Amino acid sequence: MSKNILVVDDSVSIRQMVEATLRAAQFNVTLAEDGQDALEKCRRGQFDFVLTDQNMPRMDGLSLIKALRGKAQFSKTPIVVLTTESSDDMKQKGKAAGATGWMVKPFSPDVLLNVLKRVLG
Amino acid sequence: MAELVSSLKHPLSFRGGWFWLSFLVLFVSWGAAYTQQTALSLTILSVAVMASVARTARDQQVLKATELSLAAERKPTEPPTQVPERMQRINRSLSELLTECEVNIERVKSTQDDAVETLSCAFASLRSLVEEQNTLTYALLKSDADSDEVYAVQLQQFVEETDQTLMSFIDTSEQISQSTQSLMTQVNTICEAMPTVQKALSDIDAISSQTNLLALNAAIEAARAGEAGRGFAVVADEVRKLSTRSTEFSGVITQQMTMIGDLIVSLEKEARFVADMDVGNVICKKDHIKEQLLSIAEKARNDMSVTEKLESLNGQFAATIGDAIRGMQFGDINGQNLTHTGGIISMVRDQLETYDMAHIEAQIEDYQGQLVVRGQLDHNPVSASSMDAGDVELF
Repeated sequence: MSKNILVVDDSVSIRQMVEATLRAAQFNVTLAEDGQDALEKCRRGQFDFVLTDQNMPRMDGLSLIKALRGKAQFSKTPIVVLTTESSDDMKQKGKAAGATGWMVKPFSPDVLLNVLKRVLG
Repeated sequence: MAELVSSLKHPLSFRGGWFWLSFLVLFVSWGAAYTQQTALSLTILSVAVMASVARTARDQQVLKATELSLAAERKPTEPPTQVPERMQRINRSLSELLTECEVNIERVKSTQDDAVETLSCAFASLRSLVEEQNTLTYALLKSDADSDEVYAVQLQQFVEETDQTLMSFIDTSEQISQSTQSLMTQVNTICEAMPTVQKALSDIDAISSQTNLLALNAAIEAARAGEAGRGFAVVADEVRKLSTRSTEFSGVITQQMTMIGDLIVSLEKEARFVADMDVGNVICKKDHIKEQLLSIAEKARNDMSVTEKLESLNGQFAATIGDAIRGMQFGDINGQNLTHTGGIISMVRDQLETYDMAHIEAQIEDYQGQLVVRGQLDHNPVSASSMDAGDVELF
């Protein structure tokens, strides 16, 4: 059965490219424009994996992760941050917020699929 | 002096209280000096001076912060008169240039976003089409939807089995031909034996005829003998009857032998037809069919080879699209960089418009704080300087 992936990014092109990569690998993909949009979608459904950007309007990635970790149904869901931010300080903040991993843009489709394979088993 | 006026105006305020406290300390220290307590006087005086210096520094900080906040609140549309005319012109020029830079950055970002969105959509579709092409190529290769067996391999097996069947057919035909030849030989032997049998039957007929004649003579002689030859006459009659029956049997056998002879002639004719059939022609046909089958198998092998290359090309195609997808992310990366740079320019332009050099200097020094006040990040979110894939770290 196909896994459900939530992709959160304010960039239309990034959403399109991640979606194309994941759909080609037979994943079900749901898109969200920012943290608040993602939270709304999480209220209506369950996801096996969340891939989120960090810097977004209204609600950033780390705030989203903290909010999701506060919900019982998302406390164990793998959440990987896909962002342009690459400083160790930001990574540590992400880890402290409850992120499962940190990917720095630009992403390679093969690497992204490999991360999903490793995380989802 | 202003401190003194302020303290006199507001004697109960903190600032006023500080002034009176300092005055009291100085008064005590002077008193100590007049009462020969020099050491005590110097100590109190030193403490008073240090406290005064510390307080002055703190007041200056508070004053500076107050000025900054007041400057941030006010948006002077007209330059202060104390700013030189030349500096005002420079400020206006710089402000115009920075405004143009902002507009240009916005335009670059806008066109870049449009282009990247179009291209990323195209590449996303392309990737989907490549996947579909892969599926179709695979379906073309396979013998049926539920099997993983390659059609070319199945065809190769069919060719081999057909060849074996043809070889078996040829062997059987050759065996039939050989058996027919043997049959022909035996039929010929039977044909050769027929005249001998017919002669034997003719001899039997002759013997039977002579026996009949002999029985007739015996009957005549018995009649001549009268009563004495009565018994002999009976014997002669029985012999004649045996002769007649023998002639009848001979006739039946001759009739059957004639019929068998006709059948043997027909059999010989059929056997000769079979024996005369050209097995070489069948072998020739078999070779032709085998040649055709090998041609089909060769085509299947070529198809397999082409399809393998096609699969390899599809893989390369997918990898190339992957590279394109990675490269296309420059839109997002550069967009964030441009937004941050545009924010800095906007902030600098706004500061220039205040025409207050001290204020500008303070604001520029605290540019990160100013960016945060404007709802932007205090740092550039982009550190990448190439489009190499970024690092991955799983916690």
